[in-house]
Amino acid sequence: MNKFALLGTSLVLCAGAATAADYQVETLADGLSSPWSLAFLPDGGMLVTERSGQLRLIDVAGQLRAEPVAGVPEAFVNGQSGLMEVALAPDFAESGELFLSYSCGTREANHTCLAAATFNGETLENAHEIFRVQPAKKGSAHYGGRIAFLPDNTLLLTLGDGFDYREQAQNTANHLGSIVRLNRDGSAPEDNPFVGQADAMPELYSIGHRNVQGILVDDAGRVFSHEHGPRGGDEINLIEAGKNYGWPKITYGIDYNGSQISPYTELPGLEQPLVYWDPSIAPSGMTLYQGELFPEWQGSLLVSALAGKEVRRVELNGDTAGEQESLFTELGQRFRDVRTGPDGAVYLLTDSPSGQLLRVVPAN
Amino acid sequence: MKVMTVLRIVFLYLLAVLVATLLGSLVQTQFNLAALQALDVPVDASTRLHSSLHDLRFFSPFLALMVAACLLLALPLAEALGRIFKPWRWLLYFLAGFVGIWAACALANYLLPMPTFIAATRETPGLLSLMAAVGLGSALFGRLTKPKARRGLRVLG
Repeated sequence: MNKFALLGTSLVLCAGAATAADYQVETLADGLSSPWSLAFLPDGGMLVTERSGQLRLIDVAGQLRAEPVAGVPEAFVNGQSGLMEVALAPDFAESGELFLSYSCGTREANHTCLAAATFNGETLENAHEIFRVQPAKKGSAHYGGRIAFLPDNTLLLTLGDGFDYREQAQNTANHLGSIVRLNRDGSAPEDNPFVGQADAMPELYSIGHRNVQGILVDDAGRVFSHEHGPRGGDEINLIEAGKNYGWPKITYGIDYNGSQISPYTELPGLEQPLVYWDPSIAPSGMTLYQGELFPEWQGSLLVSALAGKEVRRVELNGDTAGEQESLFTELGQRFRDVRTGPDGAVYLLTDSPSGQLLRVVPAN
Repeated sequence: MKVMTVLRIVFLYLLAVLVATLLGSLVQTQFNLAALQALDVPVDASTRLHSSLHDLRFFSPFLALMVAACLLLALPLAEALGRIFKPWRWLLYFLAGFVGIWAACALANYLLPMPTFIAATRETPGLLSLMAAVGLGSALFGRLTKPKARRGLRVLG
């Protein structure tokens, strides 16, 4: 059953002394099947992806439609795979165009895929695949899947290394473990950094990533991303075209079984993270808070975390990271995504087979 | 069975687990370093030593649990088969650990969230090397528990 907060669902008041802001948390929708991503429609509605393959519409009245949006490409759903990001084109208000990332294929041979479609307010039209990671990989882990738009109208799609293929993150002849930059038709822009290099994939924008599940572009055009590291190696990076972020040649983490992945945390020619987390928090989504409801959080990165069961606020001081603060820990939830709404509220998706969409507003 | 006999078997079992784990941990380290070297990461002798010690300290406890569990099941089976196929006793003990750790890895990969729990086993050479390491541990147990050959006049058999 799905409810809207103002219709009488749970209201949690939080005024913890450990946080700089007092807030309350409203439940906008529940019963979502592993919700993964959230997009705000110009009319005040929202689109939510469920990893199990559905796109759900929350209409302008705040009602979660019972039937999923029709026309969504079929996703390969297993383990970490499924339908991932929904991202509205910058000109969505005029074009109705949106993008969906998802895993496609089979357990033995699958890819991260990207589709474009037009949303007419009720259903998707003309959904068609515009990009798929090459080569196919086996297993259902580390797909990346987040999308951000650059000021030049190209888009960035984050990818993962497929877990068992970590060394391929250093191989420019494939897409594994990279961030790719695409035109809106899925083609590679001619000014991409690896264009013209022998055997290199022209879509590559940066390489040496493990599993990037947070990305944003700020008003100055800076690209921030975060990625799941191994045990103790989660990172926030400031992404620049053509740079190598090191995985797995350098890392601050070790393998889940305790074994070493690399003896090095630094090597020449490899970028250092702005932040790394040891122990890991498992960062899953990110927003740059620029709303007016929480002045204390202005200009901070808000990073949703799965294992950490929190949203980590990271202050930015120019191109460096400053103080950090753990938010919403009292909810005890794994958070899959965090967004800043048009109203300045913070929106959260909880990671659960029966997940929730939460809205955080000031207590007063 | 005498208490001393039981204690001896337990000691030899632990010794087999220890040897298999140490060898297996070294296999994991060397295959990982080889993969890094293939990416032009510099690995000198000192780095190799430190990496090996790191894995012996932090990885071997996990591997030891897997080895201990698989040998607990595999060694009695090898002993039973060894009494039937006496000339092949050493081979049966080797295969007990060799196949046993493969089954343990397969079970771990099935039960745990990550596709492959031990990175060295992603590729066949690494998997076979780890299997051989544990096979050597179990073969050692078979060698040390081998009944002494009876001397003297053989009337029958």
